[in-house]
Amino acid sequence: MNRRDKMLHELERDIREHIEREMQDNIDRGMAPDEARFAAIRKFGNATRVAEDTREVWSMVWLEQLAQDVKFGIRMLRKTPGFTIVAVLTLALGIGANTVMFSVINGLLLKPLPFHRPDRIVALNETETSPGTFPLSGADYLDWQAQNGTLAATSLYSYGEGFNASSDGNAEPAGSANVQANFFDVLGISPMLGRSFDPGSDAQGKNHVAVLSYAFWQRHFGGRRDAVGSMLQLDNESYSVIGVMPPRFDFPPGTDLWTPLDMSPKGLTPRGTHQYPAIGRLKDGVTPKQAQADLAAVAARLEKQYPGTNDKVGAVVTPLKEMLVGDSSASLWILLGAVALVLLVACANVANLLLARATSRAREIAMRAALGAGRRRIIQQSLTESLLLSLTGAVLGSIAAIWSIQFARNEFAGRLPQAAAIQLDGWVLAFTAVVSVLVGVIFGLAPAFYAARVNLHDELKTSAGAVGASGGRHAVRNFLVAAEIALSLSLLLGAGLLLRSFSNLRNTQMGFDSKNVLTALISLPEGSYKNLDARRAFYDQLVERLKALPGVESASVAVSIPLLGGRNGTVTVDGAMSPSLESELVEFNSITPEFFKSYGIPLKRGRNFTPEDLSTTAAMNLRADALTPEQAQHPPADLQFIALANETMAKMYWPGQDAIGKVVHMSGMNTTIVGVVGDVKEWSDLRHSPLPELYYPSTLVLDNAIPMYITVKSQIPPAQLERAIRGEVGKLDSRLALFHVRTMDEIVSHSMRDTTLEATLLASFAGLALLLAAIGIYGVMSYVVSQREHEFGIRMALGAPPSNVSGLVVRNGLRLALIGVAVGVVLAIALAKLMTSLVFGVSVWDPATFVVAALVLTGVALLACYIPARRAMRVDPMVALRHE
Amino acid sequence: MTTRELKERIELLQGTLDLLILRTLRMGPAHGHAIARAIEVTSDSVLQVEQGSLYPALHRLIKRGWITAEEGTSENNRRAKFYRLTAKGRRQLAVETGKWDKLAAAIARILRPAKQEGE
Repeated sequence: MNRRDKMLHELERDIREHIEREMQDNIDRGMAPDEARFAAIRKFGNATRVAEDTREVWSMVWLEQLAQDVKFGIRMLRKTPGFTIVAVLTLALGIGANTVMFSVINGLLLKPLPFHRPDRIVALNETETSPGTFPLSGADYLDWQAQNGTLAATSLYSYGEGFNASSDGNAEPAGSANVQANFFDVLGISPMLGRSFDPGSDAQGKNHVAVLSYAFWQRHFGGRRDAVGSMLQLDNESYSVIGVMPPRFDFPPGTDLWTPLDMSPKGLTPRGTHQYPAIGRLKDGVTPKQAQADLAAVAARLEKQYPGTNDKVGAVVTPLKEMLVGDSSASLWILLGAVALVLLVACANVANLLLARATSRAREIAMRAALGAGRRRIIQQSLTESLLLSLTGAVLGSIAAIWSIQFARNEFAGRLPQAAAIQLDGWVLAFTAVVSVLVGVIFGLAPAFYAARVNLHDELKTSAGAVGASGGRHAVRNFLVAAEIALSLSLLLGAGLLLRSFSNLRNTQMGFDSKNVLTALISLPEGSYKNLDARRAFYDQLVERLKALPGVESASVAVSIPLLGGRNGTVTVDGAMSPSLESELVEFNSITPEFFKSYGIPLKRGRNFTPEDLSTTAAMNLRADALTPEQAQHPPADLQFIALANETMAKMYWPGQDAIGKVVHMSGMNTTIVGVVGDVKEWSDLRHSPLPELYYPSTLVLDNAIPMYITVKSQIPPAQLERAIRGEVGKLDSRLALFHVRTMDEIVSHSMRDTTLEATLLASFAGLALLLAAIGIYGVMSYVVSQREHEFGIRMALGAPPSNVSGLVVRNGLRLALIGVAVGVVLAIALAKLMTSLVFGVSVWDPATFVVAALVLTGVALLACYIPARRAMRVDPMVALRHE
Repeated sequence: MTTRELKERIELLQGTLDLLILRTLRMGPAHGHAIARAIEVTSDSVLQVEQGSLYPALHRLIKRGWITAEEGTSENNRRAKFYRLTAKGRRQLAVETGKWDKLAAAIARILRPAKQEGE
């Protein structure tokens, strides 16, 4: 029993004893027992009330008061349903949007990666003669692994090209990652079922084992536990399934299955060929900086040892998380800042509504004050109502957030390994709770203090219905509206800049025509297609069959397609070459002749490839493959390849000259330029201008089993062709799966998805703020009109035309809008710098965008003034005057 | 309105009563009736309060940790609840006494000139 219960339990006895003692004293003084008892009881007072008062001492007064305030608040809010609904919805939108943005930031940026002690994992990359960072070459990695002293373990992986996976005859594309056997151990993640790779399984010939992702296991095996131990056909070769990873594990993002990488020095790429991302786990007590210094020293030794290949090849050590989210974090924080601004606008709006309401409630408040309610009590009551509003808004907002968060998770899935961590968890709810309380206090304070300052005397004296205006209150409301406009302007401007960037990206010269173009990736299993001839035969047949399909204009095969390139290296040319070109990246592609036709890339000079070129190149290629490494250093003079260059290459390497007939040298291979074609954007980052590019005949790469893109250009919408194309592929080889079947339009919009998402979100935030600001102006102007009705009546009675009166209202509103716009411009100039990394082709201080944003806001403000102004015009002088 | 005013008046009394209880308990632990008697006697019966109002005050002081209650036996071997001043209560008494002295002095300063004028 606690102190309170014990004391109250004994109270009755204590009182009884007290009275008995008093009675005894009275008897001692000589009173008769009856008289003594009566006197004692009288002296004690009302025992029942004493007990009640005593009980109240222990009761939680504030809690009871709160309950009273809440009850009263609910009653008041229900009395004005229109106000309550608008306020709650406004707040639900503002708070809900903040909840969603925070859950994204929380999941992607704040939560640790779903690995064991993820802060100890670093990403390893190399530098090159060209700027930027690059994945590692296999040979360098083996040296880094052996010679470093700061990493407890390292692991190499590569984004596999995908497999045709089948276990029951039906082929299905599976995204794959090839990893060193210790990959999962370095990350500190164990399979949910089965085991991970044995230490030796990354040796050549032993690597036919696979670990499945949870999603693939569910999709392909229906989640059957006996999948582990079963056989899976990957590109027509048998792999045994040894394990299934837990659902949350998605690294590298979008992987369906992991197979061991062939870690033999022969199986890995030579120095200079950047192929593999790598990770490392820092030894205890080692910082990423120390590891960076350590690996830089290793890289410097290698540079001395292998000057031909490792010129300027340095080491870059980055915390893994930084590497994964580095690009997204800036835009995510900006978006969170933007929704916070929206919430502020919402707050200002609700504060304004509350102030208007407080005005009409002034008499009620004065009455309560007159009845003895203290200032504190009135503020408390007023804040309780604000908090009721904000908490209701928060609940509604969070419910709406559940769906939006689902959407956000899908948006980021496959891009970042921790996308699954975007959820409405305890942290997000705590954030929402804190925000909603803060919000409730922010917008509730002004009305609360206003309520506490109500002048008792004046309010009670004025006749019922008439409301007294106080200059101070008016100033607060004007201030709030101006602030709303200022904040909305910054948002509008941010949205404007992103929309312009979006349209700049959209209109950027990509150099190709994406209309009615369908692409897909095909991977020929090495086991069934053993050599160049077999592969070439397959693709030749496929192209013929595709071209024969009704509606198809052209079909081609290529290693890379526009926007999805990224195979590059450096070349030299005969004669004087500017030193900057030595480190210039040249993009390589290998194609069949109709490639340019499929993409509408114009031939500017020289000639396109012919089928004979494909044969010649195939023969040259086989000869080159047969050379010993020594012979390859000085290849025979008649070992000549041909290629087409793009315009950028022609201008860069042979300025003012004809590129046709010029010779390019690359790893001992002499190439003669036979034609020049138009530029295309090779990389998915559209902000990147075209690189110099060389196109070789497809047969240059067909000696290797690398996946090839097929491209079909049609007269009809290409999605209708997908079935037919799959059918043709199936007729040639039923065990082949088509990967990544996409239209070129899809690839284009995919490459713009970050900007699209940012622009869409910021535009909707700005739209929301604009709407709220308009409501705010409308509210204030309506209030002004109702305040000055009497004055307007007099004016019109004295002969002022209605337009004069409405002009007064509009001028009043315009003044507010202009003050808000002026402040907003200053605010926006300060904030614009944050947008630098997000905009494209437009300055963050672009005057045109500023002007348009300011005009839009002013226009909206005028529109919001219009209805109150019309009402002012219709004031009937007689009615207004009689109202007195 | 009336209940509120009444409460406020009680509150005023309570403050004074609290002070008197604390002051009484400085002499040593006492039971409820003895405290009431002591206040009556030491104030020469000027402060005539209903004895019952002592109990809400006692409970409030216990809640605040200024006094404690314990079972004991009184002079004629009867069971009774004894209230005892805590260290915290002792400090509070000093604070309250100081406040009271200041208030009393202030009121005296206000009243004295008025008296002179009247004379």
